[in-house]
Amino acid sequence: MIFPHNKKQKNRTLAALLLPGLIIIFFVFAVPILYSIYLSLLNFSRGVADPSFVGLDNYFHLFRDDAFWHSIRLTLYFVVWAVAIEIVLGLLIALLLNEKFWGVKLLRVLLLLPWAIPWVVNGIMWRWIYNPHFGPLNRLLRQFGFITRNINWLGEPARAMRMMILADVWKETSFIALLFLAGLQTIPEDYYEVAKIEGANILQRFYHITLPAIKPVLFVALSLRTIWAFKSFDLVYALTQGGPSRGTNLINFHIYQVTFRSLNFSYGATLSLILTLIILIITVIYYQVMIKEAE
Amino acid sequence: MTSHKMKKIAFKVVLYLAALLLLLYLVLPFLWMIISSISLERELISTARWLPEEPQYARFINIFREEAFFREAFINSIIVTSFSTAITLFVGILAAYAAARFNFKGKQGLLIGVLLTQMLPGATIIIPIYLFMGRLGMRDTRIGLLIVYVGFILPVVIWILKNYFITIPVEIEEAAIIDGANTAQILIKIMIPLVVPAIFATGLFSLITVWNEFFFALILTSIHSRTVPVAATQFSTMGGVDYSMMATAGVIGAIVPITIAFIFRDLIIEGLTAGWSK
Repeated sequence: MIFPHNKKQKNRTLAALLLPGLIIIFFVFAVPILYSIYLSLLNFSRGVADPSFVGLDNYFHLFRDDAFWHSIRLTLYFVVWAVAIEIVLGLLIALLLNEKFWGVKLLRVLLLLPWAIPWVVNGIMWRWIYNPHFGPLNRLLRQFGFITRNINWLGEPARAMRMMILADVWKETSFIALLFLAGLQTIPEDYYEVAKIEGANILQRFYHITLPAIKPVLFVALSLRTIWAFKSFDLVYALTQGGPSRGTNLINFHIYQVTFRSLNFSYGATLSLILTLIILIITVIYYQVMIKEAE
Repeated sequence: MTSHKMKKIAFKVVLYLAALLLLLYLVLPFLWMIISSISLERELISTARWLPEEPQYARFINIFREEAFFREAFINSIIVTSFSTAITLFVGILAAYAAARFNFKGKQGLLIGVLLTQMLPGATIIIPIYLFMGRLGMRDTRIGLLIVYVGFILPVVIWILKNYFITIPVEIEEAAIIDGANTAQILIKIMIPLVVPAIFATGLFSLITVWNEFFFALILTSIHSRTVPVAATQFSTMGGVDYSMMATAGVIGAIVPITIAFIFRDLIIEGLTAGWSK
């Protein structure tokens, strides 16, 4: 709709409403993105006294950069496993909390606990839980007789990665369960009753009633979590610092190291733009699938 | 007993077992942080017992008294979080109202742009901002961090508030226009009162997001303006980790968003699900 009806007055009102926000977004997003692109065409880094234009050299370098590809592979592994586990576990938790039983209200509140904890505190917390000498994980396992010697949970690359995924799952599953639960609560209860009377078994009921109701939420959860998991940083920083032997060096942490520890600003900007591109492509694919499904 | 009844009992048993498992899953990790925060350091590294002999509640006060950098970080966090939320809400309400009620050129592009900002890795904007702020002398200042946070959450805030504004029937405003009200009056007297719960929920979301933010704070701040998440990591990266102090700092960092989430759970859940699902 359009109002006020006077065009000049409308423009003035619109400017007053939009300009403050636009100016902020312009300076915090638009200018930095353009400057990042500009940076990626320079050789601005520590040890270069007078940065100069190098064309697409940084982008060519990317293809020969083993550290970059290594961290992309690690990130893909992390994203696929973390998001898959979170979706399945989140759905199971939501199905449980959609039932009526004593204490369900309390559990729904406690579900917010992992979600609310700062990511970096989550990392500190799990680092302490995994501590090989004094951590409660080793202590518990020893007390119950599962192990006789302490395990160095973060001491070996592949295991550290699995432990990092577990720490991520603990925190992020909550959000997904919350979304699913909201979707489930839109299903009228008599749907299930009718299906039961007509002889549908539990799998059929899940497939024909539950799944359609949570499908829109599923896409939102899947795409948001994938995007966020690609950008994981705090957890890596607090839990492993990318180690051991770069075994948990996810791409966003790698970019941080290149930029702010090696002080290679141009190459850091190049990597961050490539990461942007990857996330953008994934989002577009999700969006296409979602539109197709909706039809 | 009929098999139907047996089935029902079996279902209940499974249900309560699952509920118990979920309870342990949700609570145990953070409970260990709390236990660590009130234990003596030597109790933690002796591993002989699980609970402290004498809970050290005083540590929650001592950490502010003895660790000046943590006290300052706490103050920084409160200032940066509250101001950036207030500014974002003010600017966000204006823009969201425009997006909900006006047609203008490039509106669709603008809204897509708002969503694009959420996909952007923080590094893409923070590398130039770090360099700019170095030039302007704004690195390691509260105002510098505050500006970045306002920009960072503004797109989401506009998006969520816009979704609330469009649920309000236009007829109310049309009646007000006929009565001669201008846009400012419509916003203040009619629209804002109608979406107060939504604004409140969005504000809480923003408070939690900014309070928890780590990446930008790590890069832009150091001794003068670091926030609680940054200060909390310093207990574990300092030479010779003090596990109990580290846990105390972590608990303090987490207790603020957890409290907000527990008190306003319904609002937050509604805001989360409504905001993201549209």
